[in-house]
Amino acid sequence: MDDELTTELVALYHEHYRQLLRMALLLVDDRSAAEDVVQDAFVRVFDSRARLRDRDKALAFLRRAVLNRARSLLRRRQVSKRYQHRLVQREPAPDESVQRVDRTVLAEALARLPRRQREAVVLRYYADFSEAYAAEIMRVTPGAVKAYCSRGVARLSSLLRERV
Amino acid sequence: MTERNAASEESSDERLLRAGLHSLVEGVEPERNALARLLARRRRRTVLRSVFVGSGVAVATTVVLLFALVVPNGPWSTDPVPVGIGPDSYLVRSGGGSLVAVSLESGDVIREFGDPGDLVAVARDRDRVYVAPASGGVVAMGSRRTEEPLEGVPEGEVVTALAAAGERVAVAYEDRVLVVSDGGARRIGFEPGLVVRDVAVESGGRLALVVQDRDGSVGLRTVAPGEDGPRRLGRSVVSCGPARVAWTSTGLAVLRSVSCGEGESVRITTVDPREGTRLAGGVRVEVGAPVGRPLRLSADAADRMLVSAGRNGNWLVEGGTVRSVPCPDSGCSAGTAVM
Repeated sequence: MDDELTTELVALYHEHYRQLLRMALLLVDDRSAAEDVVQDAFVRVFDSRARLRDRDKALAFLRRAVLNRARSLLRRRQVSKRYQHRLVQREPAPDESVQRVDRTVLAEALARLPRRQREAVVLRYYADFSEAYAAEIMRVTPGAVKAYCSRGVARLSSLLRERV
Repeated sequence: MTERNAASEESSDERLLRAGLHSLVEGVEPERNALARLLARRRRRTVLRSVFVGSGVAVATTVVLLFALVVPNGPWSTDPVPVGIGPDSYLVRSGGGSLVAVSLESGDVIREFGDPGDLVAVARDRDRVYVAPASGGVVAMGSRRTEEPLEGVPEGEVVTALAAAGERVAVAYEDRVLVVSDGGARRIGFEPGLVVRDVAVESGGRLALVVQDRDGSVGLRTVAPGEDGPRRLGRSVVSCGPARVAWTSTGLAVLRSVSCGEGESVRITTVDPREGTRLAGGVRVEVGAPVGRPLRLSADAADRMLVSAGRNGNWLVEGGTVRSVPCPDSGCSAGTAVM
């Protein structure tokens, strides 16, 4: 029985770990922290056998767990103000490519978004979730997701225009 | 409610943002040992949880459990199985001689069973590990380097092949096979002159055997659960003579030499175990050494197969894809690996 659950966990890993890792990275902009966030989420999903037996439930739980862990991490960061191992360097070297600079600007702009706007933007425009599903993951209403995205996109566009 | 975003009219800002976010994390891949780390954490958590559940029953029992968990190699660790190897791993003898469970993805050692000495065969049934020492008999290996003789198997008699599945262990000698389970040991005999070269047991109890006849020809036999006599399978499907067998969910996987001689290529053919007809065939593996007795074929629940050529390497076959499997840091030593 335990072996079956482990097999299910491994299947979930193969199918979704990479996307969750990338999603976590967009939420916490720290490669190793993102890996820890996703690892924690996977370990937590194993706590409930019922969750693992239902693939949709397991996946929704995993995504919510990634979001919650990312929130906790950002809260801790705000307190400690320790920013390490950034997703991108704050000041790109002069010889870096235009694409690299664009990515740097976008990463910085994303990091400056309010938390909920950032989450909504990542879920809608990176993970490509519907408003309703993103709302379920964030535990807010679809209307709220729509509003967060609208404000988030406007703010990002404004921040990007400032930098470019 | 749909998970995916339906195609909608997006503004140019939204389209740019979508492309930008994907570009930002493009190329980000999990760490090489991510799965191994995850499985290790999962195992530790499972152990801890079981300990905490036990603590609700009796404090004294919990103390004993914790003590047993914390102190390695305790002489009281008499129950050798199961050992929690993890499904995404294989068993191999490391360069140092220890039998170890190794992650298929990373090559990291997940569990070490100790050095079993000279051995002729290894088998694995999910989390249970069995070895056939060169001195004879079959031993169940435990997670704390414990060994326990398998009941029902003569201790001094040398085994030629070993397989395990569905809580059954099939032990082959030159002229017979013993199938050991909770129900005791069942003996399957052969006509005089036949020599058993390999054995595979299905989780339902069906056996497949590679046997060599008196005239030197090699063929396949199957034994249905509850029967004591083997049945011959058609020869035509394995023209070069089978070398090794393993059960998969689709049929019987047969490993054979491609050139029928001493070449270095083998092919895995899947045959129907009832009719002997070919179901699929063709995955070719270059084993880098003359095809001979040290080869081993094994399969896991996901129908992935491991072709092992001892020191020459191990290859994982997934569908039509073949890839070399990493050895632990200390290397792979002589003796074949199994999934």
